Amino acid sequence: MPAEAPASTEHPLISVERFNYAYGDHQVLFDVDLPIRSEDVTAFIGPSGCGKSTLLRSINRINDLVDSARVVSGTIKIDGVDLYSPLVDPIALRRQVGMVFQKYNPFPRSIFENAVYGLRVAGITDKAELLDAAERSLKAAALWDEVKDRLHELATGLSGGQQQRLCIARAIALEPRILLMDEPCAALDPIATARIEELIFQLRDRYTFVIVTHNMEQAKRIADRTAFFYKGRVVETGETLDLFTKPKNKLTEDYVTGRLT
Amino acid sequence: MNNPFAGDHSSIQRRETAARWLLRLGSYVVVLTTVAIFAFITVKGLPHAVKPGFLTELTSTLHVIESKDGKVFKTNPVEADVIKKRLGEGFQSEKTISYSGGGILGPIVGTALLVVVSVSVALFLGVCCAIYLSEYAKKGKFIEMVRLAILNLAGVPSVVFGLFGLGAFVLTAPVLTGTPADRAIFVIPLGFTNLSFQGWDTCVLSGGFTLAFVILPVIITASEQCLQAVPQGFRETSMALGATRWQTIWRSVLPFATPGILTSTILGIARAAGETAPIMFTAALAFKDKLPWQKDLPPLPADAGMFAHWEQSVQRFLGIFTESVQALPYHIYTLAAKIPQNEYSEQAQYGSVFVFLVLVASLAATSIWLRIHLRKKYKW
Repeated sequence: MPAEAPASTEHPLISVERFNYAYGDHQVLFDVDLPIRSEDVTAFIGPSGCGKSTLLRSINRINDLVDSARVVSGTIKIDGVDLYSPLVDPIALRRQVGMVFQKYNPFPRSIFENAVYGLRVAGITDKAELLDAAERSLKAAALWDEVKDRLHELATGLSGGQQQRLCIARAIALEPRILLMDEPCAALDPIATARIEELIFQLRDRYTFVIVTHNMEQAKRIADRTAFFYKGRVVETGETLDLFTKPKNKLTEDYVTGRLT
Repeated sequence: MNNPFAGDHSSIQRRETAARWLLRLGSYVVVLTTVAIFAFITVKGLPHAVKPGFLTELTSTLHVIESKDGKVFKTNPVEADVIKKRLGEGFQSEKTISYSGGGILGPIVGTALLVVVSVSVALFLGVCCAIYLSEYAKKGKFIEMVRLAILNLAGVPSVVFGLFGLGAFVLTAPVLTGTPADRAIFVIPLGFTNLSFQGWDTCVLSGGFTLAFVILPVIITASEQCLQAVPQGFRETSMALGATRWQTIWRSVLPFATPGILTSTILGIARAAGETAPIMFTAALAFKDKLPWQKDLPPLPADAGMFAHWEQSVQRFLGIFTESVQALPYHIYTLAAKIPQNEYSEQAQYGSVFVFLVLVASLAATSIWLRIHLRKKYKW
């Protein structure tokens, strides 16, 4: 558990306010209120289909890609700016809110091209700048030493854990403020999982992490705060230790003790 | 000893055997038919197809001259006169068989040009349409309608495409010209020139566009499947890294769909090369003694400048698109149906069919090879 004193939730970096979200007529999030502090690791836990991934994917508006997805009411704000206002460009938003997906999915291109993908689409063509950014982000993702001699080999030839760290490197190459992670270790073995968790721990001072996880032990190990989702609602939010050891809500208690699935 | 596992020769067992043999025979018939066609064509066509000049000469009329001492000369119109003169009194008889002499360079070149034009047009339109359907369009009534249209297009008989091409491209399509033809449906003056809806005439362009619409449904359907086969994760990752939709398509969807699209395009080529009806009214001639870029132009005066020479070269080059051509399937049709049959026309026929079959079969084989090869190369 992180030892330092918890920061205040009075001025959260991300604030989800009475957020209702639906796919077509099927509502999946109900009146979600959730402050997410800056430079914290926040974990979303809850059974499958409880809406935690949907909320995560709404923070960088990647869920806009789903045809029928829509905000019913409420907002998500970052630094007080309403993300769903027409003045917000989702492209600009996504450059500052990075995302790592459950299934590691580097493009079938070189390791280097994967690392600098975000910079390339942002229009950066200067070779030196790209190389520099690739080195910086691969070092930050603790992958540099393993791949520095084969930057131009196919990324799909790496091991699963390496591929997922490359995906993290790819996301942080854009220097985002927030990193969203959707079950980043679900497809990895325990050793690779441990390395990713270690990495999150090293980076937690530089980025604000929001992590969806099915693994409660993982939430306990890495998260400062945890939010428990059930059937589209946030049942309980709190400091991770408190939530797991003295849950206020009966549902939370059942879930963290394994009696609710 | 009592054997509980002894076979039961009941009617159930007999039906089982009958069903298996019926299915097996059906498969044998298919395989045997294919083998028979290829063997028959090869035996009949190969000897003629390998004759010198068959692949490199233009089509001409075959002259068969018999002399009184029993010699037979098979030759072209020019040499026929020479031989007759030489034989003098010894000349017995002469037969002429249209389209059966020389080689089939004209039809091969014509088919190649038609294929290039049609595949370029169909690829462009088809890939645009497939990208729109797969990446941009939201599910709804409009998409249903587009899909229905594509499905229906695939079911249109090819002769209808031919008539459509005649009406749309040969007689109506717009051209830029200073002197609009009388048959133009309407003319839009542009000041320096006119946009005249008078059609492109029968030419490679008309035929190529018509064929493009014949293969369009195949290309759209195949391209869409290839785009759909690219993992959704690539799109989400790319967008999550701040790419626009077009950047995502251009960098992370299309490159991985291209091998598949190209593979299916080759099958489209085989289809376009094989169609007869769509080009009958739009591009194909039964006979032509020139290649499309060997257009007759007025001889230049001796003092003509560089520009005049250059202009004629351009005109000849444009002949590739604006001239009508012979084409392999139509040539075969002409030999088989338009002229009296005899042993000589038959040879030209089987020779052409053999070359045609080899061309189409090798295109199909290339497509299969490419698919296997590229599948190995692009994995995710």
